[in-house]
Amino acid sequence: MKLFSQLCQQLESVPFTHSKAEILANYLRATAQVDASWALYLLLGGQLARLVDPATLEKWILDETKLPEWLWQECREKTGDLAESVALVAELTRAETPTLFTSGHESDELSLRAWIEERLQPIARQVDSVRHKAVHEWWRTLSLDVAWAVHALALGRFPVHVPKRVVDDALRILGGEPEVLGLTARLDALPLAGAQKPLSLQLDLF
Amino acid sequence: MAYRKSALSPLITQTPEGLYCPAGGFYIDPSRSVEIAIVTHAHSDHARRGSRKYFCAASGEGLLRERIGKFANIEAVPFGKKFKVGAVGVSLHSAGHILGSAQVRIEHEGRVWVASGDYKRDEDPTCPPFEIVPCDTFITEATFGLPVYRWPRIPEVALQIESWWRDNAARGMNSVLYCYSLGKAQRLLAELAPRMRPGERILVHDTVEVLNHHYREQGVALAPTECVSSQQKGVAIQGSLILAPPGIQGTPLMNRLGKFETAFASGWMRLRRGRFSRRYDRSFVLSDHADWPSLVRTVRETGAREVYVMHGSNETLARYLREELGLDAQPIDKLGGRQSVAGGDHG
Repeated sequence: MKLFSQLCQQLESVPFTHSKAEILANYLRATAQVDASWALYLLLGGQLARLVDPATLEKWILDETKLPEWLWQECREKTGDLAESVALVAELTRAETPTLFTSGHESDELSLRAWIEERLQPIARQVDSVRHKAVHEWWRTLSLDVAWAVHALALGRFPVHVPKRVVDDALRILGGEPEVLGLTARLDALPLAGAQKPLSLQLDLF
Repeated sequence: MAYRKSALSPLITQTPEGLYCPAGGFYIDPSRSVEIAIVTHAHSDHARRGSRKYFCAASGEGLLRERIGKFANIEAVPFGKKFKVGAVGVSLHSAGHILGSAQVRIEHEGRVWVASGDYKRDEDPTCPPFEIVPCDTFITEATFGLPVYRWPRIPEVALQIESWWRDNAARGMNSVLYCYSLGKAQRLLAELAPRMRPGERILVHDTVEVLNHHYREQGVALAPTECVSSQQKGVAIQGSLILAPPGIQGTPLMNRLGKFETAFASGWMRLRRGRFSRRYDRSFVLSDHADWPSLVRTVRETGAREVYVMHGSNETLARYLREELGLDAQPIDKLGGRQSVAGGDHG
C-alpha cells in the first residue's frame, strides 16, 4: 500500500501526461502483478464496495478526537477531502508523533492486494461494530499516506485517476514485457468510472 | 499568576504599521520605518529598513544587518537580558523559528505581555528552542492554526530528502530542492550535515551562501556547501543536491543543471491541495512554524489568560482557545489601538 499511495502522490503532483506515464511505468515495473492489477483498476476509475458511509465515518472520528464540530468542518473545507481529513486528524489522537515512512505496524506494510482482498472487502458487509473496530485500528496503527488511501478505498471514493491513454503510454514505455502487456486485453474489458464492483470480482489476470 | 483582565489600556496595541507599545514608544516588526523597532527575526516580512533605531537578539544581528543594511542603528541584546525602552522593561527570549528569532517580553506596572513572533517547538540544530515565558497576555502566531497540521519527525524527513537525492544521483540526475533562503535552507543543511559522505558538498544559490556565513559564524554546523555559480563552466554538474529559492525557476542558472528533479520543502505540503498547485516532482513536509498541537500546548504553557492570535488562522485558534480552554482569546484585529480598523480604541 505504501508504494501505491506514493504513486498516487506523485501522479497528483505532476500535471503533465507524459510524466504521469513514466511515473506509472516505474510503479508497474517495481510492483507485483496482482497489486498492479488492482492499482490500474482503481486509477482507471473502479471503486470498491463502500465499507463505511461518510456520515458514520464523521461521527466515529468526532467521537474519537473530541474535536468540536465547527472545527472539524473547517478541517474538511481546508482539505476538500473526507478521507484525507480523517487520516490527518486521527493523528492527533496518537500521543507520539506518528512516523512518516512506516508505523512499524504490520498493517502498514501490507500490499494493495492484501488490503483490498483481506482487510477491506471481507468486512464491507459486517455489522457496525466490526467495521468500527477495524477503522479504529487504522487510526491507531497506520502512517498518514497509507491511512488516507485506506479511508478513500473504504468510502468507495478513491479520487486519483488517470486517463486510459496514460495507462497505454505507461505500458508502451514498458513495452516487450509480456506479463504487463497481458494486462491491456483484460483492462479493456473492465467497466470504468464509479460503478460499484461486486465483491467477487477477481483480477486474476495471469 | 493571578489573572487581571485588562480593563487598563493594553500594553501592546495593533496599528496599521504593526504591533505598538504606547508606554514604550516602540513597534514590533513594523511594516514601515518608525522611531524605534524591535525586530523578532530577519525575514523580510518582519524586518524592514529605515527605522531610526532597532533592537534585536544578539545571535540574529548579522542576519538583520544583511536584511536592513550594514550601518543600521541596531542594539543587539542577548536572550534574557532586561533593558528599558521608554517606561517599560523589555527582554528577548528564544522563539526557535530561525537563528536569532525572538519573542518580546514586556513588563509594565506589574503586567507582563509576550509577543511570540514566529515560532516553533520542534528541535532545530540551527537555533536554541522556544523558551516558555510566563505572562498575563500572550500574542501568538497561528500560521498553521488548524488541526490538520501536525509535523512528522524531522530525522525521517531528512532521510526522505537524502534518499530522493541519492536515488536521483544513481540515475544520473540532479536534485533541486526549493526552499526559502533564510532559515529553511540552513535548517536543511544542518539536518543533512550528519548524512554527508567525505568530500561531498551541497550546491546552493548565492543568496543562500551569504546567509550560511552568518549561521556558521554563530557556530551552527552546516553541511559543506559551494555556490552553483562558482562551479566550473563547461563541466556538467552531476548527482548533486542543489538548494535554491523558488524565485530561480526558469532562470538561466537552471540551464547548468542538466537533467534534474525538483522538490519543495514546506509545511503547506502536508495537504494534498498544497501539493496540487505546485509543479514539483516531490514535496517534503518541513516547517519553521509551530503545528496545531504545538500552538495549543504553547499557549497553555505560558499560563496566559488573555491571548491574541495573529498571522494565520486567527479566528479558528482564538475560538478553540476560548471554547475549549476557557481563555479570553481573540483574533488580533480585536486588539484595540491607534487607527485600528476593528475593535475600540483603548488608547
